[in-house]
Amino acid sequence: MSDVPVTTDLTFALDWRHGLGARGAFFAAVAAGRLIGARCPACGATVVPPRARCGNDATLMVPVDLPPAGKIRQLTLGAPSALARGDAGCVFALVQVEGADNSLLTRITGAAAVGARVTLAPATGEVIHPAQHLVFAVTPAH
Amino acid sequence: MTTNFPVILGSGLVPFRRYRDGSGWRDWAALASDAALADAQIARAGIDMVIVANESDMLAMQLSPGPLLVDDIGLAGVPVMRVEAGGGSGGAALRAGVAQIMSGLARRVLLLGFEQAASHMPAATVRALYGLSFDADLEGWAGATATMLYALSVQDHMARFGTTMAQLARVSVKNHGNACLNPDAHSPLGLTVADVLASPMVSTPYRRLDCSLLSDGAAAVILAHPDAAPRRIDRPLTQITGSGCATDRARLGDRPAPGVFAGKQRAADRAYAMAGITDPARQIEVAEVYDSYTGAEVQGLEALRLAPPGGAVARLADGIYDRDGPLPVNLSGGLIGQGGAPGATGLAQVVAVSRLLEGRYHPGLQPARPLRRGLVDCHGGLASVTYTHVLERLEA
Repeated sequence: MSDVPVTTDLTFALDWRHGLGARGAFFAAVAAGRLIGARCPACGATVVPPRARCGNDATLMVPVDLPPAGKIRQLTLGAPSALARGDAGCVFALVQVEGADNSLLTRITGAAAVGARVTLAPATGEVIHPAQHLVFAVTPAH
Repeated sequence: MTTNFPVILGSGLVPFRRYRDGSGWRDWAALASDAALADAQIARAGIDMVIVANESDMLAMQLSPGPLLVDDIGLAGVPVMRVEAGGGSGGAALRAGVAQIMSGLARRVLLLGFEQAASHMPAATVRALYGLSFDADLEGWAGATATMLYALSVQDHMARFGTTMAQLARVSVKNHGNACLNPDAHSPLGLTVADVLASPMVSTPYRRLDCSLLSDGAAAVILAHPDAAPRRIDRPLTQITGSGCATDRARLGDRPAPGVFAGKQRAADRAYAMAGITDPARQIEVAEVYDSYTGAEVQGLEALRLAPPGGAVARLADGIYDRDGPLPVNLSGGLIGQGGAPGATGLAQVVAVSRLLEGRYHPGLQPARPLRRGLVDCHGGLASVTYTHVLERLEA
């Protein structure tokens, strides 16, 4: 469109101190191998990650510990974005966490398949965001 | 003419492309605005409100683009607001324009959508940015991509209704094919289902030809209160008779049926109620449906009640949504064929449907029969926020 194309190559690196606020406890627990959810005292719904108000009735929820295990509901295999860290592979899945009514999007290691049982196996390497600890591993069949 | 529902005076589009000619979003926005003003045959002074739509300051490298654009296009002094709703940003602009006019705040509104999404950043950077469109803290920073989330959603649809990838591939064949007759399209391709199924895997089960592509581009639409619309004898005008917006649960895993676009259904129901539509599959005659992925078009058709739940693929196979079918869908090519410049996409849909209703769309895509009523539908996130509008032809 321009008569004389003019372009310039720019680099703009940004540094943040990102506050995780109310979500911080969940991520800290994940890094320690635990899973925190929330239960609604009104309707009984239990969800993970925890949220302040129930998605069904907006009642204030209370935190609950959940078993760090579940079952793969759906999975997809593809290249993670450039933000990903670690060697957890290329599988992301919706995991039906035991005791929760919803599913959690998480990275999966091991021989993933729909219906496979998985357990929380937090990434231990260097991460740039605590969400990168959130990895489930396929539980070996006995 | 119905009450104070806004009419479309004119529109303009800068073809969706990957521009490597040194131009940028300010150029495209100005070109689209000029084209819309010329098409409307009104003077700049006739515009009393501008609504700007674009998705990301990170893509434009410009914060607060509204006042800058208004100045660029010769409308300094005119009120401006900027709206953002991801890929639904253009729909958000349309709804905001409808509200401005119906409330009496404005008489003639320029809607201006743009995005520089294809030409200036490495693909991996853009992919990482778009991964932040969902729950950034939980999903985007973990490395999940938009394609992964859509892939997980469509798998629920496949499990729920038995949908197959071969059935979904017909969307890609249809939309790329329509794009062959649209000179503004980014991806005109003559394809077969086998071509789609043989294209490289991106994120199972989605392959490259199931995915829309990101484009550069801009689109502009001028709305007016019916009392502020100049009489025209050369062509009919289009009126916005229904506007609906709704949200869904932001995280896919929180949705009881992750493969069903429940928020889109609510948005459509609101638009239909406003327009007095009771049987959309019979009363809507042409539609532009947000097809970021092949499955998204199918899921969208069902949420919009243009097909029964799980029934869109059968109608697709029967040719219902084909160019010469009874309800052509995405004659422009949609995002898959025409391309997707997120801030402009929803307005490009309006350009297509309004011109189809007015009988002046691209030769080869304009059906021979007159069209009276159409629909435009776009969304942000994973149909996390949807904007649905009903458009109707007004006779000259």
